[in-house]
Amino acid sequence: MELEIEHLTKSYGAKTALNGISLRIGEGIHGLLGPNGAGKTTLMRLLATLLEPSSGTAAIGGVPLRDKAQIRRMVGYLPQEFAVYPGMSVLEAMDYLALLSGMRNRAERRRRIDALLEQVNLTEQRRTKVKALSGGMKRRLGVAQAMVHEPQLLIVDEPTAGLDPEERIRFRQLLNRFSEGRIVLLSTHVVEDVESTCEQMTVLHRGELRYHGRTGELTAAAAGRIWTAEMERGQWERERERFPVLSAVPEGAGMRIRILADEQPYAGAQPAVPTIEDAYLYLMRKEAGVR
Amino acid sequence: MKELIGKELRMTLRSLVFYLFVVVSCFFYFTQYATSETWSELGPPSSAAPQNIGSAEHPLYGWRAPANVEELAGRMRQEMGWNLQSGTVQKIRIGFLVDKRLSEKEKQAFAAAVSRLEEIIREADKYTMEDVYQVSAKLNRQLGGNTQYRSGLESYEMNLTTPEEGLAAQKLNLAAYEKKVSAGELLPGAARYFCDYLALSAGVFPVFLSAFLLLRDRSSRMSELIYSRSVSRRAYVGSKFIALGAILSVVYLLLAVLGAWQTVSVLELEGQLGEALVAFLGYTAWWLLPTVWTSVAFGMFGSMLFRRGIVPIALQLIWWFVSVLPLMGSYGLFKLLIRFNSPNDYALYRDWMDEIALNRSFYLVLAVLLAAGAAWLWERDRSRADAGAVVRRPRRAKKTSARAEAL
Repeated sequence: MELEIEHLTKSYGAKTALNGISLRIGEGIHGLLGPNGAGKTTLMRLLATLLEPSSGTAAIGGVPLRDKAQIRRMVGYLPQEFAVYPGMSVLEAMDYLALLSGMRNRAERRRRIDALLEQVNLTEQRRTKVKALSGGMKRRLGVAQAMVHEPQLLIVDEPTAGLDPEERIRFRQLLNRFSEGRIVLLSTHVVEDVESTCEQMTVLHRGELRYHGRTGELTAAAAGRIWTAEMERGQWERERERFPVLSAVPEGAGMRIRILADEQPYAGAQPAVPTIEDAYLYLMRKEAGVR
Repeated sequence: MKELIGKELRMTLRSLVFYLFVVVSCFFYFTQYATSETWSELGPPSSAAPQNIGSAEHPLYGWRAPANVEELAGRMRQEMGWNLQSGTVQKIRIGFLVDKRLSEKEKQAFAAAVSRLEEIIREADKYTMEDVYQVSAKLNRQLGGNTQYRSGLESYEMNLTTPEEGLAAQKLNLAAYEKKVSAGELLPGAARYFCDYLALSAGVFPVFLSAFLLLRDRSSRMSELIYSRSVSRRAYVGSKFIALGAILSVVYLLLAVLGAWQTVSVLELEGQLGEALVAFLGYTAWWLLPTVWTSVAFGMFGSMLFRRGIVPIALQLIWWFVSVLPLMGSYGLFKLLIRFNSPNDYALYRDWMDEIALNRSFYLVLAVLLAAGAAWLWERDRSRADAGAVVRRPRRAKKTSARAEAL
């Protein structure tokens, strides 16, 4: 099972939202990172058959994107803005969406829905109207509905937005279990989600591919460019504009800061092992021409 | 698809607009059909002595239909004379009767019609009533159509000026009523009358439900969720069409059952409920339901075509206005409703039966075609999450760029 994307382009008039992207994504959870306007949602909508590509091709498990009926059977999609008819209960919404996904066998539907609601911790809310659910509960319902027909490619757009830390961990575990023998494409702004769940990741910026590979290897790009330093608050106020600051944590009377710089920024600054977040920010700043 | 239809039915039953539709339909039933006027028209003529409802100078003991060629031609000539004198004629414009000034050519057409009627009156035994109606039909065509002389619009009734005439008319009416009852035409006539009034609501109110049926996905922000699923357009749009059409049909069929029961009950037609049910349900299915299903399909199709619910509603209102008049006799293919505003006139109905059948068959086919069109448009939009941007690109180039930026 593989997702193959070749020179995929999507334009809106003169504006190109996705420019000739080529990717090969295998089974497992794949992170999709990028700032607003990077083309993440466009890529996901193309794969969910919600948009027609301007040029290029894509195939899921060898099935070309133009074979929409077949692709729709293979794809589960959680859009960024997830909503269902507000008058429906959780159970009704799941049942309706499962039916629209071609699950005709009622007993099979019920069994699958019960299991999923259990996994996303919504069993107690099964009779609750969707409009009465909290934001976090709605996201969990969104994830469950995307998985209901056991798709081979699960596309989830910002799934952890609005989830508390405990729910976020539970959600990651759920995705991990689900990704066995399947592809999960996880788009997010939360670098931590990618770091802790994705073996591979892709970074998009202004419709262009900026990184595609193992998550751990992204840090190599930032190696030797991350520094930590301790300084007094007065010095911090004077120096803060000189270098890109990745984090600044007050410590007693002073500050512990994490800086991005090609060379040692201060005499006392120590080199640090880059995290994925450091590497991602380095990549984005490099794109923006900031040093 | 059966399960999807069931789910759509449940969703419709939770809709407040559906219950408003039921209330409005009942309102039409109780204010238009189930009234004392209807019962007096359907029931046997009064046997009380005729009363002068005019004045001492101009006594009036009621009206009666022309009994022969001479009387009909005479009344018609009288009407035409009034038109020539006033220099105007009444025309139906978008459902309203308006006075139109006559041109010289039209006055000549009137004069020719009057002279033809005089010729008929002179040798009345050589002509039939149909020949007389042909004169008015020809004049209607010469005036550009849609005038008061259109077939079925004017009954050319004659004033009864003496109690004796009143009594004679009463006897004739009673004989006609008894003939109608013995021929089994009373209940079918009542059923046609029921359908005529209920068509007024069937021709417009279903669109208020159907115009937002598919747009609801967008307003509930569910479009992407539904478009990305494997359901076929036939199953998705078809289930909504069938569910709404079926539940609205049930409302009218229940009103037909009520109408049959109440008619039999008020007219004291013991043992005729079965016959009444057959007539009311039959006419409702054949006359009303094609209008209901077409209205449902039109709302769905229009909302997909214009991406606005209000546009098909406005268009349907215009269609309704165009179809609502005349009260009888006009069954062209553009007429969404069947108007037959009489519980009697079986002979007229028989004459128009073919036209009515063609009209109803056309609307049944049209309903299916419009629903298929709505499904096609829905499928077209399915892979065009950017459709709004494509449609409005020339005028909203800046917003398009902004949208792409957001993506």
